[in-house]
Amino acid sequence: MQIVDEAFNGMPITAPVIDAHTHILEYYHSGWYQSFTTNKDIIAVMDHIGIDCIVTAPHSLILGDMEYTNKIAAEATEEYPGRIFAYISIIPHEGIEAVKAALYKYSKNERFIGLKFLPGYHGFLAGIEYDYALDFAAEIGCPVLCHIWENSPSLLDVERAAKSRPDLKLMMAHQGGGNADCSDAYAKLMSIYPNLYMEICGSLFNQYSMEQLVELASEDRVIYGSDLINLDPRYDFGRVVFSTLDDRIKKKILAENFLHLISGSKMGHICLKHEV
Amino acid sequence: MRIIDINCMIGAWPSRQSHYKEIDDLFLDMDRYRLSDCIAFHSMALWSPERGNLLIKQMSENSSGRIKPCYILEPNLGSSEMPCADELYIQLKEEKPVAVRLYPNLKQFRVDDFYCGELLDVLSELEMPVIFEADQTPGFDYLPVLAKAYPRIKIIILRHGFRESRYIIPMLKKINNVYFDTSIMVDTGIIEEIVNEYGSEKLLFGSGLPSFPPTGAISLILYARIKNEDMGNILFKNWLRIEDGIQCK
Repeated sequence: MQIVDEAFNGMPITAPVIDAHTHILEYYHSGWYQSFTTNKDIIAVMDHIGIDCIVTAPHSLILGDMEYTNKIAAEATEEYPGRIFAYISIIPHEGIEAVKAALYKYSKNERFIGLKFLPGYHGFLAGIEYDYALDFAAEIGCPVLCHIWENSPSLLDVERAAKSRPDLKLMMAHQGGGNADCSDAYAKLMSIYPNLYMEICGSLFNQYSMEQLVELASEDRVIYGSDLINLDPRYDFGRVVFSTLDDRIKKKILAENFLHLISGSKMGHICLKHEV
Repeated sequence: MRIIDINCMIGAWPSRQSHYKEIDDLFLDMDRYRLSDCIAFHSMALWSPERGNLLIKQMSENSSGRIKPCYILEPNLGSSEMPCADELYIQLKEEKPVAVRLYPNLKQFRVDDFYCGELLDVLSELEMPVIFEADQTPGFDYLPVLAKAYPRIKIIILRHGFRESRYIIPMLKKINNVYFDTSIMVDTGIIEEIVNEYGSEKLLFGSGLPSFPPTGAISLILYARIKNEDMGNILFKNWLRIEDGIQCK
């Protein structure tokens, strides 16, 4: 059965699925609303649609408490091993020493597989704390998932991060900023820097279909993420599985591209129950 | 399962975004995404309602029932741009659109008794559904007032729901004639919460084609953990009930 047929039957997708952009914990600020918030409920919805595992940075990241956030993430990975993995959340305003300490402590935990940045909410991307973490990621070979909405952080800062670190694997979230113009601009940057990747969550206002995003960014550099539980994971999941892309490309977006990103990393790895 | 998409547009568009020049272009996407029927308006009607409404009527007549016409109307009856109330009533009864769209923000008017009372009276008498696009919706503060003033009009709000659950839940709980499409109800689990707590009867499936692909919207319903009966309500039955209620027959 093809992925689209599984989807139209409401079945869990049998191909491997990694959700590369998630936030556990409730978050009710600024109109955000979640009908369920526990990790048990998150696992239930993952099972319902066929997500093998998620990579998470808890919502407390936004408010800004690095140790608490990473501790909550570590606990979740222990609660659901193999189903919940984590990013080391980097909060620059806590200072360079705190960032170093977080990287040192959590990079030794094999259930942490990359770094998560939230510039915009947390200020500029071009700062010494983020620079330190980017250098760390480039050296270790782990991916960085970096927030971007519209032009925050600026593509100039994104270019600065990618240009000087050819070994860095930088995934910019939200299709490069949440709308078609932003996706166009980011895709141009991606065409120059092969170490940039496009994560797709939060696409509800982007008029580009998944087919068009793949055409822009290439089938090897588009990565599925949902923003769960900030957003319902079924929306962006549906943008992939109900699309007219062939299954070979869907599988790349749903898991293979992300697995490729972490394949050379000295941090943790994801073991799926499926053969990819 | 049958899917009726209540939010489609045919016709040219002045920017680069996707559009359907011909009816076959819409059919292609409907087949691609397994949409059985749709409620569509013609983009020309935004510039010239008379011309655009005629176009969608003709396209609908050549669609084997798959495309149902939605008209766009202006507020001032008996003016240079609209027939008087009696004539409009007869026209709508004869031409049988299945819904009307109003664009108060785009076209600079207020949807109230003072500025478009005559039009609303005609639509009320016909029990004609009135559709508002996301950026044309009367504010959530005014919507309950409008709905209560015209209880026979089913007011349909498109593409709302993102970080608006605290508005939408009370609206669905307390107002009988306000409906929402589920296209961007992306607050986590909100569709399930609404269906399980308040019922599925006032949710409709809409996509926004061709401006927005329907894939995310389809997923929100087909992967919702709700009963088949509720899924059917959202995907097509609720619309059919609304359409059955129109007094144009």
